[in-house]
Amino acid sequence: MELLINFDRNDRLYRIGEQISGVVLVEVDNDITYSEIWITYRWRTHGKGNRDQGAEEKLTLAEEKTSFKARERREFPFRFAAPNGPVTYHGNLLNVDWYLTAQARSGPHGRFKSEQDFLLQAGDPTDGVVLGTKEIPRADLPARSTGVPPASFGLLEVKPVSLRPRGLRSKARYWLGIFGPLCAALLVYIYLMVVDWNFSYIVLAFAVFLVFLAVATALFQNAFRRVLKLGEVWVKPTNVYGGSQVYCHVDFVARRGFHLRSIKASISARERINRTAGTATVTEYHVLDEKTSTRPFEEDLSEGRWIAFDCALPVGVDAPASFTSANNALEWFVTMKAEIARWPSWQKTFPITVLP
Amino acid sequence: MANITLPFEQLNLRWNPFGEPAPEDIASLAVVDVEAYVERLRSPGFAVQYLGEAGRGKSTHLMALHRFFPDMPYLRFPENTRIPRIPHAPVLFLDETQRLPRGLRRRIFSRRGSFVIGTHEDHSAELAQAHVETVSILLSGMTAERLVQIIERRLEWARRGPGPLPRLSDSKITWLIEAFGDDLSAILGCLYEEFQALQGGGKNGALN
Repeated sequence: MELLINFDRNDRLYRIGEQISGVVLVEVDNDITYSEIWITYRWRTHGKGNRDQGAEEKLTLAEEKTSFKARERREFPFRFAAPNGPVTYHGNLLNVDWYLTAQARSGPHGRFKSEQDFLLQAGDPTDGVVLGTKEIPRADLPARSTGVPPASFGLLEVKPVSLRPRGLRSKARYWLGIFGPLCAALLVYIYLMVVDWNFSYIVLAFAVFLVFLAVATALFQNAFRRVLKLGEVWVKPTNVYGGSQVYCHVDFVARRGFHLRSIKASISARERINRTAGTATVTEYHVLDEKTSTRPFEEDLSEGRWIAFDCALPVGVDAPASFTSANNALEWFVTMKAEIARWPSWQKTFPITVLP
Repeated sequence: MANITLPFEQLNLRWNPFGEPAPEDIASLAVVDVEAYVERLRSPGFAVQYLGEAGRGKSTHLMALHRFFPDMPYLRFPENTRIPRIPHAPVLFLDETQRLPRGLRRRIFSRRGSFVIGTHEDHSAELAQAHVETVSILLSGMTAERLVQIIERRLEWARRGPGPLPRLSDSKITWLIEAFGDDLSAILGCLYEEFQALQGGGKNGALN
């Protein structure tokens, strides 16, 4: 018995919103009766990660008993609306493909099966867009790119802001907070060593050192939070089509004097997969693309200085659409970063969705 | 819009043959010899333990044997996770038993039943104490013949249609064994990368 799937397009390439059609060709060797002939279609992932798949859609081609004479050949046409996603994606760790399966059942145990893959590209969805297990409802789909940035974009100007100056007392409190407990512990320790030497003092010294480390870290983190006073931070829009732009903005006030090296904004895409090896699950990443826009400052900012940064990041015309499933994902991010000399950088990452 | 074509079409494949198979395909892709233990496992008091480092195929052997006992519980003990309740069953499949506390292992082995075990540590003494007849199999070493068999099975699994499939030259097989030894996971990982690179415009023929 032969079960062949022939699509009406040789390249098997369809767009969302189009009709997918073709025929299932059934050719038998002997007399046989099939109780049902049907097709199903669904997306599946393949690649380095554990395989995921979407829900199966079924289309019956012959519902009633269909008898064939020996060497008979018959065609069963099929036609259905191309799904609203996910679109076909061929990457490095991750691939998303669509599969059409034709099946014929003869009796309780006889089942014949044949499968072909087809390609699904971006188009005009009939409803919300499907991105794997995630769906963006039609109401949330943005208009195709107009090239108009958000209203407040680029309108902010750099201007100084007066903050209440930090007095000598607050600076003294900061340094005393770090070194005060250490000095006190050191004095107690020296006293004990001189008066009565004991090995347990080594243990005590180590414990005091750990406490100091914890206190110093907490104070340092607190001090860093005081370096910047963040104003607005946003990325718009968070659902975008390929070929459009993502606008981002950050503004802040310097709460102490520091040297600002640069502010960067980057847009990046990566594949993320989970792979089971024995009993362990390993997560692997592959960065596809990263575009960065940098504004160099190399400037000593005085306390109270107000800085605003606006940037438009392009999403490539061929940018792959976002995808999410249990073990596989294609993720897009916008990251903003302020590089500050002698202090840890300030950084914030926003996930965005690229639509097909 | 980017040009898109059917994946690996020029190699007569439907997907990268060295990618992760679906769980139901793992056992059929495994090149293992497990049938000899099936009948003995049907009677209680028998255990097969597969020993070996990570990536040597312990779980694959367990899954291949599990095909003969699809209704029996298959328990995995991943790192840093809570140990699940171990059900009573005529045959228990236990993966990574070195992560179970010794006391619990002893209680499990003293049950009336048979066991298929994947482990980094040898439990034969504990099994003997519980009067369980044990066959221990150390999974190590890789021969060129076995590797060719594994690769051919993978290529057939990914076959797109009739016609020739890519093949690996003898020198490539030798190099893989020299480079990765018996670490099959590493060998498959390397071949995955090479086939990914071919996806764009590779041609049928030997990979050098």
